Amino acid sequence: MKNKLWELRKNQKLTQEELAQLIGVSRQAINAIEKEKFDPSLPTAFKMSKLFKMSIEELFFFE
Amino acid sequence: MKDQKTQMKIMLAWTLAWVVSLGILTANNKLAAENSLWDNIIYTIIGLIINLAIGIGMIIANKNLFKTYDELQKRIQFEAMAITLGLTVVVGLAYEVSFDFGIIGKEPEFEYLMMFISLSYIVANIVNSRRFR
Repeated sequence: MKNKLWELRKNQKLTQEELAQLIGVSRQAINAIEKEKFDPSLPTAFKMSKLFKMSIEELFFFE
Repeated sequence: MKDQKTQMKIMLAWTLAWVVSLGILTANNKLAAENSLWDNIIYTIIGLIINLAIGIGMIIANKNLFKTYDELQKRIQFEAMAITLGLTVVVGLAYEVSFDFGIIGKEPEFEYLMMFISLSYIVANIVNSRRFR
């Protein structure tokens, strides 16, 4: 699954560590999600969509 | 993450206590066999009960540590456990059959199994962690 996490994080000027703390996961998890090696759980995806004020479908999508 | 570090320290303390209690128990048995110094079944039973109690504490501490893991860490651990379980069953039974047919001369021992489980789990954990980097 593809996502816009890296782009959104950069726009918000957040480090991986800061985003990880806001979402409540490890920095490694943020890195793995950004590199599209790992798909987050639904609660994590909801937290991200709330933080970046966009729908889950806009944040995560199939190509 | 801070909570995870605390739980990790607690788990390590329990593990260390368990290893020490197991060491004392083994030494007690060896001493008893060699010079009858502690040749008292009561001491052994008390040692065994303490060892089991500390072992249960270690399992609970490990479970509490697991609760602090995030979804990626849990996935890494689950996959490492699955690989370890699979390898242990497959390699363990292959070893047993090989011994039964005389291909391997050394009888399978519980210590070998423990060592194999530990090594498999460590390697699976490292490989899995690298996969998600």
